[in-house]
Amino acid sequence: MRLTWLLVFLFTCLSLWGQKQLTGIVVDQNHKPVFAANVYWEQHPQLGVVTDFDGKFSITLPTQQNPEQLLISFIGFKTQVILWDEIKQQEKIVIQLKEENRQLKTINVTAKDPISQKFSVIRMEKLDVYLSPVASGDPLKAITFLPSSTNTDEMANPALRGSNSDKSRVILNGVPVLKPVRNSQINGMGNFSLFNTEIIHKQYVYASNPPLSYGNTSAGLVEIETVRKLDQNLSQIATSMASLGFFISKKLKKKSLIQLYGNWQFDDAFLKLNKNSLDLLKNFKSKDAGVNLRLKLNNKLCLNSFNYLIDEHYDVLDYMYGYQGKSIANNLRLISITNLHYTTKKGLFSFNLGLDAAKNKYQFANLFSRGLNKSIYISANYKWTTKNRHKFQIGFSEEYKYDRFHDSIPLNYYNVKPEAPNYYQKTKLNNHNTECYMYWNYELVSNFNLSTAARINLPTNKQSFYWSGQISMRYSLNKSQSFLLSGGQYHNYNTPNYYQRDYALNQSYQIALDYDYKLERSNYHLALYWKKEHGDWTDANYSNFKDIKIVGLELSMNHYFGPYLNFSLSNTLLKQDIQNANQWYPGNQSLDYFTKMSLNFNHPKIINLSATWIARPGLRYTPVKEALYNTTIDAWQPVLSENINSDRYANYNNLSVNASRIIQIGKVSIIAFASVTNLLNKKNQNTKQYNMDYSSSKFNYFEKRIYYFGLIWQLKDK
Amino acid sequence: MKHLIFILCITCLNLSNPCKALINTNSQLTTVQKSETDSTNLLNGIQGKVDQAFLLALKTKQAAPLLHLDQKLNKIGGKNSNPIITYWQSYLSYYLSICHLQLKDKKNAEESINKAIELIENMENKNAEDYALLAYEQSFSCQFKPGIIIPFVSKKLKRNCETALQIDSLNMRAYFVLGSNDFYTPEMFGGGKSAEKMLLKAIDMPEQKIANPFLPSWGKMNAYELLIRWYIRKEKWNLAHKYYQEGLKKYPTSFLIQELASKIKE
Repeated sequence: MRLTWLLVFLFTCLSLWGQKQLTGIVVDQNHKPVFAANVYWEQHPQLGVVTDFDGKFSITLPTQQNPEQLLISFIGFKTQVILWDEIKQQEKIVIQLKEENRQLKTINVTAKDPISQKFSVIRMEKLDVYLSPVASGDPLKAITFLPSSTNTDEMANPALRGSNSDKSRVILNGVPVLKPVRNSQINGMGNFSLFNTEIIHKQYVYASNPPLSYGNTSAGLVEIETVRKLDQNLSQIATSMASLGFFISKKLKKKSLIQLYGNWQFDDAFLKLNKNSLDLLKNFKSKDAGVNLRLKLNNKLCLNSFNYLIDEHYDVLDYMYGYQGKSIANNLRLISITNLHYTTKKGLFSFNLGLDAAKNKYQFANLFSRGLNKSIYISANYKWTTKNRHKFQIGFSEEYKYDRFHDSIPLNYYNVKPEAPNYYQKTKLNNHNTECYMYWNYELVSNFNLSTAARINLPTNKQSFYWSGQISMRYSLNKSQSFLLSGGQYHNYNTPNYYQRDYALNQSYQIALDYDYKLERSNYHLALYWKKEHGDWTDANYSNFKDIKIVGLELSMNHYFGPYLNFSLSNTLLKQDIQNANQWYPGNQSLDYFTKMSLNFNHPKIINLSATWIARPGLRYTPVKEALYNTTIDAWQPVLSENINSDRYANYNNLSVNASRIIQIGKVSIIAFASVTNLLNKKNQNTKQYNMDYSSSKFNYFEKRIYYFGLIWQLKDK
Repeated sequence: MKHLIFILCITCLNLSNPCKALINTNSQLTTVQKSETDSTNLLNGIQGKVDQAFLLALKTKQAAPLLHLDQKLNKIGGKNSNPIITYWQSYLSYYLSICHLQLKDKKNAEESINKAIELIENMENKNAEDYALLAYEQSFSCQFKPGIIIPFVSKKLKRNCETALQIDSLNMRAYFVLGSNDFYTPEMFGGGKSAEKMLLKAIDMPEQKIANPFLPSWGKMNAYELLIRWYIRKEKWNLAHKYYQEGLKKYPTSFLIQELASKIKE
C-alpha cells in the first residue's frame, strides 16, 4: 500500500515537472498590446489567465495526451481560436485579435438620423413640444417660440429668420408638405399645423441654410420624422371646448406599429365663451383622420406609410378694399407619404413617395375661387459611412405640381362689393422640379465637423439651369461651447396663390454664425445672420418685389431655478429691406426688438404652469394716400403712399398663461389643461381697414383674450 | 439612497477577499501574470479596491481614500491611454459622487458624477460595458437635474442601455440598469412596465462571461434585491420568497437581500 502511494506521488511530481509554459503576447490590429484579454483552454476556462498591461501572458500547456484549443477573448474583439497543432511545438506566440464587426449595428443606429443633423440649430422631441409654453401640443407651434422663428402672424406655419413662410419647407419623413397648417387659404388663419404630436419622433429645425439633401427651399427647413418604435400602447380620448378626438397607438409584431387618430372640431362652446374677443370669426368646423403605419418587413427592410385626410370649413368677417363681409372657405385635402428604407452592409437606401391633393372653395364678396392642387413627390437617396469618418449621401428628387383655379375675379381689383362685376378665369399651372444632389459630411476630429453639399436642377420645358451649394462647419470648443458657421446659395419655387399665379423661382444667399454655451442649468445662444433673397413676388397690395436683404441678431438664454422652475428669455433684432422698382424700402418685419419670455413651473405631481410674454414693435405697412372715385363703376380706387412701409402698427404685446395637471387613476391618466391667451386683452393691431371712400379707417386686431380648456384620457399598457 | 445601499452591500461582500470578489465567485481564481507592472498591479481587482476605499471614506467621513486611489489611477492614466483605465476612473468618480453626497457636499457630488459621465461620453468606440456604466451614472445624475429634464435623461440612459445590448445582447449590467430605471420610474410616467422582465434577465446571466479581475462584475446582486422588492410591491409573495432564497444562496452575506426577509409575508 505504501509503495502504491509512493508511486502515485512520484508520478504526480514527474508530470508537474514535465508541464511546459506557453508564453505570448496579445495585440490588436494596430499591433498595440491588448490589456486584460482572457487567455484560456477551451475545456478549462476557469484555469485561464489574463494578459497584463503589455499584453503578455503565460499559461500552462496541457499534456500531449489531452490536447486542447487555446481561446483568446476580449470585449469588442472576435474570440480567437488557436489550434493545438499550431502551438504544441512553440513556447512563445503572438496573437492578433480582430475587432468585432460592429459596423452594421452602428450604421443601424446612426444611419437613420439625417446626415445633416449636426448642423441643425435645434432638435425637438415629442416631450419638447408638450413642454413648450406656447405650443398647445402642436409641433409647429412649438417652433414659433424659438428665437429663430420670426412669425408675426400668430400662425403655425414656420417663418424663419425674417423670410416669408413660403420660402421655408416642412418635410415629413423625407417628403415636403406645402402649407402644413389648417385653413391655409387666402386669408388663412393657420393657427394649428396638420400634424399630431403623438406621431412625431423628432423634428430638426434648420433656421437658415437648409440642408441640400432637400430642395425647393431658400430660407430654412423643418424636418419631421415619425415614430420608429413604441415603448407602449396608448389609447387616448381628448375633449376640449372645440374638439373631440381619439388617438390609438399600438405595437405590432416584429417592432412594427400602427397609429390611428381622428378629430372633430366644432365651434359652439368656444365661440360662446369668447364672443367678446372673436368678433371676426363666425364659425369653423373640421374633421380629420390619420393613420401612420410602420412595418418592419425584415432586419433590413422597413416600410412606413402616413395618410391623412382633412375636411375643413370656416367663416370669418373679412376685409378687402373698403368692403367688409363674410368670407367662407372649404378645403378637402389628402396627404399620403410612403417610405421604404433598406439597410445595406454599408449604408441606407431610402425611397420616398408623397401625394398631396386638395380641393378648395373660397368666397368673398364678388370673388369666388375653386382650386384643385395636386403634387407628387418622389425621391431616392443613398447614405453611407466610411471607416475614416466620412459620410456621404446622394439622391434624386422629382416634384410635380399641378394647380388649377376656376375663379370669378373682380373686374376692377378694388371693386369687391358683392354686386360689383366680375369675370371668369380658368388657370392651369404645372411645374416639374427635378433635382439631384450630393452631401458630404466629414468628422475631421471628434469636435470638428465639416459638411458641404451641392444640388442641381435638371431643367424641363422653359426652366433655366441652376445650382445650389452650401458649406457648414460645427466646432465644439469644449463640452460647453460650440460654433456653427454655414453659408450657401439656395433656390425655391413660389407656391401659387391668389395674388401670384406662377411658380416664380427664388434665390437666396445666406451666411449664419450660431454660438451655443451650455452649462448644467443654463443655456445661452447667440446667432448672427445675413441673407439676400432674390425673386419675383407680389404682395396683397399688388406691389412687386425683386430683392430682400435681411440681417439679424438673436440672443437667448434659458435657466433652471431648482428642480421645477425654468425661465427663458430671447431677443431678436431684425433688419429687413425690400426692393421695389429699384428703390429700397424697409421691410414690414424690420424689428428693433422681438422679445419672447417664459416662466414655467413643472411639477409632475402637482401642476404644470407657464406664463409667456411676446413683445415687438408693430409691423410696418403702406398707408393709403388718397382714393380716386371711378364714376363708371361707382367705386373708390385706393392710391398707396409711394413710401412703402412708411407707417407702423402699434406695439404688439401678448401675455398668455397655460396650466395642466396629470391625475392618475389606476391605469388611466387624466390630463386637464386650460389656457388664457392674451390675458391682458391687449388690442394688437393686425390690419388697417378703411371705409368705402377711404375717408376713415379703423384697425382689426389679432386674437384678444381667449379662454380654452379640455381633458385628455389616456390609457397606456405594454 | 438606492445606490448607497447597493454599494455598501457590494463593499461588505468584497472586503473578505478583495481580489476574489472581483470575479465570479463560482469559478476559480484567474491568474494574472507574474511580471506585473504598477499599472497591472493597480488594476488587478480594481473594482474591489474602489469599493474598499469607498467604505473607508464613509467610515472616516472623508473622501481622502477615494481621492488617493483616484490619484493613482490618474497617474497610470497619464502614462498609458487605455479605455479600461478610463472606465475605472469613471466608476471611481461615480463612487466619489455618492461619498460627497453622504458627506452633505452636494456641489462636489454633482461635479463628480458629471465628471464620471463626461469620461465615458468622451471615450471613442465605446463597448457594451462602457454604455452600461454610462447609463447607470446617468440614472444617478437625475437627482441633480431639474425635474423638467429628467424624462430626457431617462430617455438617454435607455438609449445607452439599448446600444449596450445591441453590441452585446448578453450584457447583464445593461439589463440591470434598464430594470432599475423602470423600477424607480413612477407608473404615471411610464415606469413599472419592464422592471420584472429586465431584472429576471439580469439574474439569469453571469456577472462575467469569463472571470477577469480587470473588468466589471457589479450589478447582479442588486438585480436580485430589486426583483425581490418588485414582487413585494406587487404582493407576489411566493415569487418574492423564491428569489429571496435564491439570492441569499448566491450572496449569503448580502445585507441588502437579508434585510428584505422581514418584508416578505409567508
